[in-house]
Amino acid sequence: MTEILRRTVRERWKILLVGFALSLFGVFAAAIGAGSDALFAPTTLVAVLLSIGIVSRDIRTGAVQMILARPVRRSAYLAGRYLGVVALVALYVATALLAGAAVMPLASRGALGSSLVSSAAGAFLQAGLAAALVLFFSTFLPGVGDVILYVLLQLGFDLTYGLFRVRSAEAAAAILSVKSQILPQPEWDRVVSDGRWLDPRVAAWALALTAALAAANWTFSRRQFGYGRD
Amino acid sequence: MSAVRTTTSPAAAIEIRSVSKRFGRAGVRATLALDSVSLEILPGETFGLIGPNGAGKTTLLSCLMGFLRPSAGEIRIDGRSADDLATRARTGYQPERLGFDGFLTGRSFLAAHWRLAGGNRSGQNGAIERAAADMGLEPRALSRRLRTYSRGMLQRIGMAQALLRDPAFLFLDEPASGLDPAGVVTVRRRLIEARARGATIVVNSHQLPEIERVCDRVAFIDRGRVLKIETLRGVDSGVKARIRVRPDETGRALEILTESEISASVAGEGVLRARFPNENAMAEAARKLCARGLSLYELAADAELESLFAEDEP
Repeated sequence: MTEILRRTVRERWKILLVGFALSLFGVFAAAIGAGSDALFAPTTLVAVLLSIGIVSRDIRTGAVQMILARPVRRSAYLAGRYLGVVALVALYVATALLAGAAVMPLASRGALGSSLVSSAAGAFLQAGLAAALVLFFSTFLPGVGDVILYVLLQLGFDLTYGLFRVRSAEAAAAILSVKSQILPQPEWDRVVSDGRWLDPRVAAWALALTAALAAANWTFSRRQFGYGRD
Repeated sequence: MSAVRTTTSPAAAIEIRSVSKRFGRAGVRATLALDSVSLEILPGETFGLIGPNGAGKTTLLSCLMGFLRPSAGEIRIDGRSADDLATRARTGYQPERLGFDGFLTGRSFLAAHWRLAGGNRSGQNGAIERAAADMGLEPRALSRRLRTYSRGMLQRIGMAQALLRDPAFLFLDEPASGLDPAGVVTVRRRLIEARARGATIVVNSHQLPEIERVCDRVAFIDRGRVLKIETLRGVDSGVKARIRVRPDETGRALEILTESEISASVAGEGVLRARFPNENAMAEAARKLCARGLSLYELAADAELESLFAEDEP
């Protein structure tokens, strides 16, 4: 697993540079007090970018066969891939935090600093779920299908919610309920800063994360890898 | 059921029992890539898989590696299932399609495979350099990224990673593909060395002369079925030969050979095919033919595998 993690980091660290460029806005917005959620969107985006084709690319190139020809469990391969992405997200969040602290006005470091740390921790945890979902999709979808499905899932909920909100409040509530099960989004600021780890939405997040990883493992363990029929 | 089976041996290193592999769901679109294939490969044996494109050779190799699950039948390697981790730890594999990480240097690639194979860091560098040198890769090449490698260099480093840690089982899919003549000789030498230290080797290749040089037995596969198994080395292999005499002496030559208890048949006007128990018997037959006054134009050992293909030509 460690070897796969190392390989993932070596293969994908350059994507962080794109992430850093994209997140400059978020860091500065957070630093000047534009909102403690400012790190949330860029961190999720970075996690999704890092996870593109995380498994399907190896299947396409045949690298997965060379790895699985070694004494490596399929679950260990997946764990290495996932933890590699998580490690890079952690590096991204830590760097963003340092950058935020550097540009933060000295006077506001106390209050806003703790808010930024909560925001970063929440963004990291939420990005972990996004990466797990993309990992799961990548075990059965080729190319960038994993990310497309993730975006469609997000957009699908938001669009249908928007459509039904006017027509039927019940239907809109049902859509939100389903979304909260598949893509739960706890209020991480409060969870982290107030220590509300027993919040039902945190439990839903943990359940969704576990389900995504278990589903990825189930799908991948059943996959077959052939080169054709020669 | 496949028409050909090997001799049953309780000590087989690799047992393939009635393995079938079907792609696609049952119906019109389903393809039977392997059809009840049964083989037994002995410990220390070098076994070749030959056959035309699309015959099912790579599918069989993928089943042996556990990448594909047979639709029916069973595969045991050293008494364990094909995807057993303990067996994998003793297995080297080179795929036909090389799935390399282009961003890695040759050294990083071999190091990663050394560690994935369970090798410790203390012996890593020496083993990597030795494996690369054995495959004719210069030390400078190890510092270059794989994306800059030529096809032949990739093939060499692919073979080097397969041979890391002296595996007990080697599964090779077209190991000499894309190599220059020197590279082909290097691969042959490494295979002969692996066989000498007792490795059980399964090679899939279209390069018949190479297969003939390194393999103890070969299975001829077509349309997912094992059509023939030929022994190229060992007690029952013998020497196949082509004999050319004056056309009007064909019948007499056949009589003389049959008198000498040599299995022979007429292949054409003035041409016979014979199987001799060994090369001495072949020389003795040549002496007899000449002593009886026949004009012997040619007596040459056959390139057996080519003749195997030729026999199946329509």
